[in-house]
Amino acid sequence: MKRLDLVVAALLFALSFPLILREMGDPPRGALRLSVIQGDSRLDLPLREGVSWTRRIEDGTGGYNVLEVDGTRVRIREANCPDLLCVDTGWIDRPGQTIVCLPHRLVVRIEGAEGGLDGVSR
Amino acid sequence: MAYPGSPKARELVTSSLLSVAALAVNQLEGLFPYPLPGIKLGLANAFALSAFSLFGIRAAAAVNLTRVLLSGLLFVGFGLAFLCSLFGVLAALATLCLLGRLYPRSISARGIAQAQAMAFNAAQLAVVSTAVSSTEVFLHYLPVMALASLVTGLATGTASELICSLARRSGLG
Repeated sequence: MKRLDLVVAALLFALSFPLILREMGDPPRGALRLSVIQGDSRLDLPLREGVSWTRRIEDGTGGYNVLEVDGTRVRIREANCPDLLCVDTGWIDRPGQTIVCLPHRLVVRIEGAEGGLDGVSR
Repeated sequence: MAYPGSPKARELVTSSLLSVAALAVNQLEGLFPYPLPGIKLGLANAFALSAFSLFGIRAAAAVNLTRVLLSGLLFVGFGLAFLCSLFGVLAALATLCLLGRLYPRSISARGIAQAQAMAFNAAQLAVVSTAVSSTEVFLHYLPVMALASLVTGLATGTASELICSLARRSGLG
């Protein structure tokens, strides 16, 4: 273990601190919103407990992702992208959490109320 | 024990071996599931790092760039995935340029590997964020990448120490 090894490790640990705060923080209060960005179009919808729906998002060139909303949690249930990283991400339910489907240029993100931990980690 | 031949030839042969080994390991890695999307062990860099400790920065650059080019040519094509690994590798090489001067006096292969992993991930993330034009994605994933780099860098740094001693013992270094 050399001197600079410690510096590198300490820097990386410090950088990862927002993640630890984010994952260990209290569940968010206040209304959550869902923001869906695809290419140039942007959709902003409220998330409410007990309201569930699914929606198929087309990218215009044959690609699709099936977005599933179950109350305040969200996932991509199905897609025809080659890597399926969006599907593998699974459910997200905290403000700031994001699902990305790169091949289809899709970003799904949960937005929280103002302030709170999300304000810190951003 | 050392094989006959000029040091130059030995460097060329060993670098070539390291390049194809990196290519193979990189493909193998893709077959394993990972706990988080986008996170990989990055063992391919262990081979470039070995080239660095054996021969210096030029050999490391050669191994990494050869690997990325071959991977683009053979497997992923020259799309976004290629751009991601190209910029990632360039960032890792820049890091090696900076920290390599201090090796092995005040930094070990593990420390370098961790810093490289972070640089690689950050560059890749920058490409992705530009592609989906969202800085939020970048800021959201950066802490995840930092924690991952801490672990994966340790693994690849240790692996490169093993590779180096193996290469030296068999006369390839």
